[in-house]
Amino acid sequence: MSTKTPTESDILRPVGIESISKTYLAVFGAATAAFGIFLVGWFYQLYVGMSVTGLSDWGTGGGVTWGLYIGAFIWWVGIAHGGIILSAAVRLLGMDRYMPVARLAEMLTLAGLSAAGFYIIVHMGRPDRMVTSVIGHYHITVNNSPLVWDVTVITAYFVLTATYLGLTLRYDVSRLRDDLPSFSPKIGSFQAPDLLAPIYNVMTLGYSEKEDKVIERMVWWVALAIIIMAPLLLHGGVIPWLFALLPTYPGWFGAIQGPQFLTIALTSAISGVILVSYAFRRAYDWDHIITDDIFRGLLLWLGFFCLLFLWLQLQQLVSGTFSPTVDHAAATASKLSHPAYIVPMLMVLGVLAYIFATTLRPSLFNKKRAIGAAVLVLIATLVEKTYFVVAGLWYPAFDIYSATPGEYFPSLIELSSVLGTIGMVALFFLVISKLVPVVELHAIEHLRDEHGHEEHTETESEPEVKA
Amino acid sequence: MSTLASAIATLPLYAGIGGTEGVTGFPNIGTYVIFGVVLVPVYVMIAAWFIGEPRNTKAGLMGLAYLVGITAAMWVPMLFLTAIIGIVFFGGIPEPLPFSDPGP
Repeated sequence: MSTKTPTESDILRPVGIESISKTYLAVFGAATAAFGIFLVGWFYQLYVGMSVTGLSDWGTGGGVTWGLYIGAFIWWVGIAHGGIILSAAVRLLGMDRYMPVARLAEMLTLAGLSAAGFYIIVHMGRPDRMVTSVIGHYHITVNNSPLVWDVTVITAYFVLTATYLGLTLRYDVSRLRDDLPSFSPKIGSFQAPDLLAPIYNVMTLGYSEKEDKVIERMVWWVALAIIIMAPLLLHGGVIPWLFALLPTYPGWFGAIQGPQFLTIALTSAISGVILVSYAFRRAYDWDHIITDDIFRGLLLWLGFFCLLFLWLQLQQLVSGTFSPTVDHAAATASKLSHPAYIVPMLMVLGVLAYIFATTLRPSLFNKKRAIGAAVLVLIATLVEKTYFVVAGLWYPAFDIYSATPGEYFPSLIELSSVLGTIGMVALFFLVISKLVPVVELHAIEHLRDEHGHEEHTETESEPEVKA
Repeated sequence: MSTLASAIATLPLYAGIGGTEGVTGFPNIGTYVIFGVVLVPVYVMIAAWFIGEPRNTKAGLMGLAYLVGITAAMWVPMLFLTAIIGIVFFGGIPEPLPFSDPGP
């Protein structure tokens, strides 16, 4: 634990345009370029059609019509989970240790879901289909289409998370209003009014200190709704049901996909939170706010979820090899021989081994290794998810696509979409961190109390083995 | 003869099983799964806002305004974009949006 006491000015450091550094501009430029590269590819895809990816019909990619776009969609929704689950755990389970990264995590949820939603629009071919086929016929399709269930629940998830963030920001924005930025550009002789003021005014509309307790209770209920709905019924529900309800695809079919998807999502989610937290800590010297202790705790959670991830994969491999149907045997044989399955499993296993080793020998922990573990898990989950989607179509029942020509490998446009959405999420953080504090004021108040308490008692707790 | 004709007419020549029989229409599995199970936490949350203590109906209504407002902010711009895409690229507002031309 650092000896520096966290203050309001610490969390206000990223806010406003005065704090823009050369590094900030460089990261902003890189993120814009990454997003821009994909936008060029996407516009080309819109102009020519989905055929540029080979995903537009059954006959050009060896029967594969869902590829990297869908794999990356699932990946981003998974990453999005880390945020709100961590935040809800702070509020519901009293895990105050993670309070300093809770809001960053909530923001990661919004950014991750936006990236996932973008993938759906990109994969639909024509963006207007989102409205004409989903919204226009919702009253018919919601009764029987898992795709429409997905759209429904992802919308609910986004709305709940944004409500959660909106309600908790009222406390911070009303107290820090004087220190938040203004933007009044002068155009010729015309002095424009503060363009940011309406945003802050809407965010704190009707605020009074009397509401704090009521809002705190409301937010608790939002957290409860999210922690039940998002992991169990979204990533352990409607998203795996896109695959698990289709018996003609033995690689996809089965009830295990719910828990399997959820554990994969949680590993990528914790990894995402580790990376974002580290980036902000490094950029704004927040060693005393986002402490080493937080990274140790997050790494332990990552290890636990990696264990569950591999355990459920084992279930699938054993049931798919002992006495499978002919169709199921082909799907499992692919897993046991394809590098896009084997390598990610070894990566996750390696991360698990490292995390286990740090519990035996705490000196093996350092932040760079924690970052390395997080990056490995993120790569592994993206590759595994894409393989899962594609391999399901490679090995359908009765090998019905065996006569379809072509082979699927992600096109350059699809590959650039991963880069582009990472750039998009980075831009989201770069912009929002200029407008509102990304660390809760409550977290600073809590850390200050803890500091005061520590100074009085001079007792140290052992951080290595608790999560 | 007429008896035979009427007997033939009443024969079950159609198997009675359509391709989508049993999996479409309202209500169906999605109706129960989505509105009866998945969204239950949201109903409970909203109910708790209004019936729990400390209670403030105004704050509860504000919460509802957040839910409705954010949902509208997500989907309403898409409705307009869809109309614009239709007008610019396809010669008119697409079905089933208002003021759309019937398609082919």
